[in-house]
Amino acid sequence: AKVIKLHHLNNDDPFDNPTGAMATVFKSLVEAGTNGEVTVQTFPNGQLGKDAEVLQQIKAGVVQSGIHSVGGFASAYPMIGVLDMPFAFPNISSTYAVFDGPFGDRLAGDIKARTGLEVLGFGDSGGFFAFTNSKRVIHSPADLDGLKIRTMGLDTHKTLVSSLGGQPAAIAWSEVYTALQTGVADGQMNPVPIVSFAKFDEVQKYLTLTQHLFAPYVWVINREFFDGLTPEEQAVVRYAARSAIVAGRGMARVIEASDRGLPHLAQRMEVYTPTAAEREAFREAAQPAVRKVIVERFGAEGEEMLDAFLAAIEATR
Amino acid sequence: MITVAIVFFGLLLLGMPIGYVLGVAGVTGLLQLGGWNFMAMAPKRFFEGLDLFTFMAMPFFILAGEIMNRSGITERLIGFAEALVGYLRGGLAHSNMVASVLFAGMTGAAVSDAAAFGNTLVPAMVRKGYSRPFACAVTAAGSIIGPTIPPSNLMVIYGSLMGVSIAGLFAAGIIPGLLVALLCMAVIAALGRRLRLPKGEGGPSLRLILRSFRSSLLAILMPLIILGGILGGVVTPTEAAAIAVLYALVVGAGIYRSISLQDLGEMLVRTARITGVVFLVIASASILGWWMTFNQIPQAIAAAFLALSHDPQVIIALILGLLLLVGLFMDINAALIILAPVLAPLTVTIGMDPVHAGIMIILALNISLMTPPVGACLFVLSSVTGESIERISAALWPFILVEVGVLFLVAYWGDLTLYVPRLLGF
Amino acid sequence: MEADRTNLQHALGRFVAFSVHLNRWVERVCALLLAAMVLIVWFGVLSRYVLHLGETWSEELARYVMIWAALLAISAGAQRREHIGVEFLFLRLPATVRRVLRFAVDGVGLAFFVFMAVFGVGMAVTGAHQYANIFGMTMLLPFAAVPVAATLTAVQILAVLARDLVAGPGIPPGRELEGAA
Ligand code: NA
Ligand code: NA
Repeated sequence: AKVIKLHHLNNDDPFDNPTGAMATVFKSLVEAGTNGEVTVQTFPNGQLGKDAEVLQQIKAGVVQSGIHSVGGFASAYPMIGVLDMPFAFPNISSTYAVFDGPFGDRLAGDIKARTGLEVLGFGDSGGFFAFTNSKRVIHSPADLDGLKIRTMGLDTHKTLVSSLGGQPAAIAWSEVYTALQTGVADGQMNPVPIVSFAKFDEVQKYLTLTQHLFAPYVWVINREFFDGLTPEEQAVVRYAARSAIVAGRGMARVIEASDRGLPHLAQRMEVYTPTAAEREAFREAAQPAVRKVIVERFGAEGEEMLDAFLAAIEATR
Repeated sequence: MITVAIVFFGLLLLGMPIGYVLGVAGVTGLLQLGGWNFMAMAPKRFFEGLDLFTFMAMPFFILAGEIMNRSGITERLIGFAEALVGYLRGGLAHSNMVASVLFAGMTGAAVSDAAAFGNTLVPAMVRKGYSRPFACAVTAAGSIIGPTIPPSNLMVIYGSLMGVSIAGLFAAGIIPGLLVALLCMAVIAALGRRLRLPKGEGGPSLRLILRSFRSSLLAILMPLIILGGILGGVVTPTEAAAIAVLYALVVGAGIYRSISLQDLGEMLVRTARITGVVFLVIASASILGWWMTFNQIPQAIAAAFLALSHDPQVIIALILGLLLLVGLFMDINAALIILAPVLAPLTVTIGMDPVHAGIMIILALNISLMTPPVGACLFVLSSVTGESIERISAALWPFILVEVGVLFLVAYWGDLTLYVPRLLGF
Repeated sequence: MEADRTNLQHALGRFVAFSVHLNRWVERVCALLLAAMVLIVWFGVLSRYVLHLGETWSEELARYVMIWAALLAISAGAQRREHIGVEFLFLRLPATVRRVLRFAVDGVGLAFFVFMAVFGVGMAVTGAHQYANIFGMTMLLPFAAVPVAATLTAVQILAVLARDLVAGPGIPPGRELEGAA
């Protein structure tokens, strides 16, 4: 039988997190749909190595498939950074349309051409990014002035924070909790479920739903392995992944809405959603600066991809 | 799997360096999986196994220790400790344990503690007449207090992995951490006569204490400044290790004027060599660890273990046995990521509080840091002091026994562990 | 016959001398890298409080410098036989058996590092197509630490073998690193 070893970043429990739901649904649909000819073996919690490292294992065919964070995926396909254009999406449902539609196909095609990896789809890593901090409610960029905000090492994220007046701080993920607790950093940015999983509500007071970024999961499969499947099996894998992504999105929304998401955080933190006018102020401060970084980094191709991205979002309005 | 085990134990017994043994066994496993692609995994794991910012604390603390030793800071600190408790039998060994508790506030990893004390307190204890294996054993035993009392890297990983309150885990670690210290001190006291631990002349003297306090003031300030830096939100625990180097350098070279640039070069070289020895083991272990993960061996062992009984009390004992067993051979970060998701749900079904279960699992893994053949704290101490791991282990077993006792106490007496978290409202 | 033997011994001796020299330089590089690592972390703290640079690369750069320093130092450990093993059984064996075993074990260790050097080159080459977060840098340079360090370690293990051959039996088997100065 053919075995798909599937890497993902969280627990296998389908009711715990989006990738757990995706992996479980995928396994069930593939194994049932191929009558056990293709089996799926899951490797949760990044057991096989860091995200970027497992990507290389998939390229080498040691592992067959993986659901990757944008941060890890950038090591193989830096241009994924165009998705870091802040304040681009009007709402969460437009992210589905953009990544399932022609733009998603175009991005998948470019990824395949440049990395040789077959893309099975783009999942939901927990919705939009929000800012948390320990100092004050954030209504406008001025409120971020002088706050030390922990970000990943990505130029785009760093520029986003500094364009809003914050001071980006480099802190290893393993030390973020302690850093927020003691005040080495005043705040950080992540999707709501991650804020909740990482227990940042224990060490942060204010949560602002700026919805500034949407970082999808990139789900890839080794190309030789995929080409080695029969057309029927390929079709099963495709629809299984598509369904799994829908399940993952559902789980992300459920978590956000449940006692492990916003309602939970709202009991422990002061939650604020910026008004449309305040959001516009954020967007005006951040977008030009980040666009400049994207163009500098990825050149004309990057700008073209970025414009296609923004046009696809516009089309969903 | 049997081939890999034979290679591992065979080479180990033939005296091959463990860093080589782990690598050769790992590569053997990869060769069995077949294909060039698998072999290419070896250098990759070798690299990635070290790619962790928090690992930096270890060389930093070794370097800080080098500077403190060479500049006389250690000497003064020991002088102060001697004045306080030197008249007691095994006074310095007790001070070592107390210092571990204080140091625990500054570090999140046991290897940092082993590195810092192995390079300062162990030589000092040896000079005062303690046997080197015993001095190492005391330091190894104390080193697990560091990640048991907050802050703790392992608790942060566990909390975010299993959805357990990290602040709750931090609070719950305090009593077990203090218990480890107290009971290890009881061991030191009990062994004092039989091992003929050194004992100073006369009784306590206030004049002597004041005098040594004055002469060691700058040295005593060091831990306070660093701890203040962490709690005051200036630096993270790993950065604090680099600040310790800075402070030692300022005091040693700037104020005491007792180290030269050439000294510094020698200290850097020695630190690098010790780091190389310890990190080779970590890097090679991650090759073998990947092979085990890929074949889902830890999960298979766990399944076999846990199938033995359905009685909650027995299951707890099985979990502890399993963690200690896996901990003999596996790096604790890998063991935690692989085993915690298997074991934690089980503890929930038998009705354990998640924070309580978390502390139990973390403490068991911490103890494995000093059990041979693969125990990071043992390697740090062996490498820093030049003492063999066999001789350290021989002196260590009473402490391990007591710490396993604390582990079982923590496991079966939930109210004890949960006292502080409940007090704080978790 | 006798002349051949002294020639061989002479060559081995020169190789051993070379390895000592090489190691001295490697150790110097390690010391510099370690110093750099300390400075980078200091700079990271400083940039957060005093300079307000908002840089985000210091954390990643410090990690790569640490890996280079630690991996290069493995060869120093090999040259001085400082890598830790479990020797209680080994030390109970008769001297001749010990000598043969030590050669065999060193040979296996040598094979391991040659393996790591060869496959490490492959990894470094593919690293040219992987990107670090900082400065748009590829992973070629960080990954190169593995093949470079493995090659140096293989050379030092060979030198240790040569040293044992030249010195003949009776060389102490234990590690040479002594306690803190
Ligand atoms: Na601690
Ligand atoms: Na162990």
